[in-house]
Amino acid sequence: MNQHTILIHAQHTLKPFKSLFEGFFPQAQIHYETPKTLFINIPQTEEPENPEDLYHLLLSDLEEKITLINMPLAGSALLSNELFAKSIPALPSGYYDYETFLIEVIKHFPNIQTVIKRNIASILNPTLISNMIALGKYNLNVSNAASALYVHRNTLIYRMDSVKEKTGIDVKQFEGLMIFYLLFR
Amino acid sequence: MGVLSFKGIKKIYDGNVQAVADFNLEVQDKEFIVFVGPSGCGKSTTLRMVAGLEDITEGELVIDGRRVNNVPPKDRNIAMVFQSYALYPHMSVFDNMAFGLKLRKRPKDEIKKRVDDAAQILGLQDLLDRKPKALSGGQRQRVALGRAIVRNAEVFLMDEPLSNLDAKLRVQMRAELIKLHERIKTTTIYVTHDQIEAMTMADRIVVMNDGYIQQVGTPSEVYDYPNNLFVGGFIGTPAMNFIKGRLDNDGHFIINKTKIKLPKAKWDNLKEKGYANKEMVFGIRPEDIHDDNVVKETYPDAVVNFKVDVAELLGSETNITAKFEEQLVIARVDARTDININDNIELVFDMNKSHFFDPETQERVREKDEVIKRNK
Repeated sequence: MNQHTILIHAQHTLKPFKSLFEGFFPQAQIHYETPKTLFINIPQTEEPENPEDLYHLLLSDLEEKITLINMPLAGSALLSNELFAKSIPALPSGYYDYETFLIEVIKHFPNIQTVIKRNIASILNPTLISNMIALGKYNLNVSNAASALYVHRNTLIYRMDSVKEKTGIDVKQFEGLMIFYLLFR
Repeated sequence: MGVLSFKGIKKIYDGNVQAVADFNLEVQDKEFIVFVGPSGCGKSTTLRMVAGLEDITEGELVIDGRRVNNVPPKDRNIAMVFQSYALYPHMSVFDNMAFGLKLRKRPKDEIKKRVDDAAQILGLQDLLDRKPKALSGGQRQRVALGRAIVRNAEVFLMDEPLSNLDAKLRVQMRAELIKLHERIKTTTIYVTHDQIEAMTMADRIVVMNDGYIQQVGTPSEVYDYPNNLFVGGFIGTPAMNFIKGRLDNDGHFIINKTKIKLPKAKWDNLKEKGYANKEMVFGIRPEDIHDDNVVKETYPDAVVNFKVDVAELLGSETNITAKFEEQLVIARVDARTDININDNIELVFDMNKSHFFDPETQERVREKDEVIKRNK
């Protein structure tokens, strides 16, 4: 797994978490924290531990509502730490991958939705965004979308990878593409 | 004690998505209850509501006489086991099992005693100093169970704990979980989509679909007397055969040109309930369709000609998928029967084991003298 960030929110206390991370993710670094939320940078490792495993472990030991989000490093380009921290407590607790989390945020917070939209539009050029919408229109079929856009399918795949690199959103997944649909269509 | 009472529990997510609808159930102390159903049927959501990880939209959840709707998870005296048998990689087996107790600031000697006791129950005494990496999948799963056992909780909640294991290990762990429950007798709610796990482990099974309880009963009740088409089709591998047809006025079930005579008691019951001359669904389990002559002589009016579509030899038996009147039926017959694809064969329905379902309500028509034999 590439370098990524884990966002953890606990309903009551985060105290017991901190000591755990060093063991679970060696070389992990806390880079942002509020009383109930921690953002931890996890460096790239050869044999990564699964963040969902950590979620289940914490849940069975602490027995309180916990939210854990596994976010690629590029995700920080879409929202400030403050806005991430603000949105997490309002969502149903649980484990989220990045794309699912963004969809939940877009659903629940119209004002944060605007921020995400503005930030994506500033990072990606309009062609990339319209290409992603075309991809959705062709049901994630890269060949069909590419021929409709008059580009080679490898070009479209390159652009999809580029979207992931810049925003962290994996548009090869349905949820990832849905974010573009919700925001830009 | 670990007595749970679900009273009209509902879970509605925002956007009016109803995950669980009017869930009513009494779970007895020491009972092993299995929630089973397809993905999205609400079984895990119900379990998470018991754990306190999901809010209950409506209804009342009572554990040991105490309403717990608003009690935080850690004060409910429950222990959870999840499908990922995750352990802290940097801690020894002992520390992994002790961690929850340390968080609760239990005295050291008490922690040691509880961990040692759990390790003995699970046969982990010699592994307490090892790190998770030095354990096999089965051993890790046992440590994950140990982490729950040390808590001395009143209720165990298990969310598909075996689904990450390979097929062989799953069978082994299934047996271990049954033995474990026999020993520690903690009330257990176990969620699975695997109906074999449900059948083999449960004292009672709760079959769910679309957020609704379809049936609650012992494994044999649910298997032999399914409430409706869903339960009949969901429990059993291969599933129960459903054949569409019509009852006449004279005690026959008619499928196009084929006429099958019903046993008198079954016919009298159906007639009395007003099903004469009505469309019906006839249900029969694969093992109740036979190819041997003795049964054919017993039910000469239920012998039907089939054309074999597929014959799957399983070793001890053969599953035949065969066609008659444009409907596919699966029969489980003796492996010694020599059957090939496209053969024309005669099979007979054991009509006393057959069921009739109302196609409108999808409910099974109950027998007059239906005596449900409890298996436990």
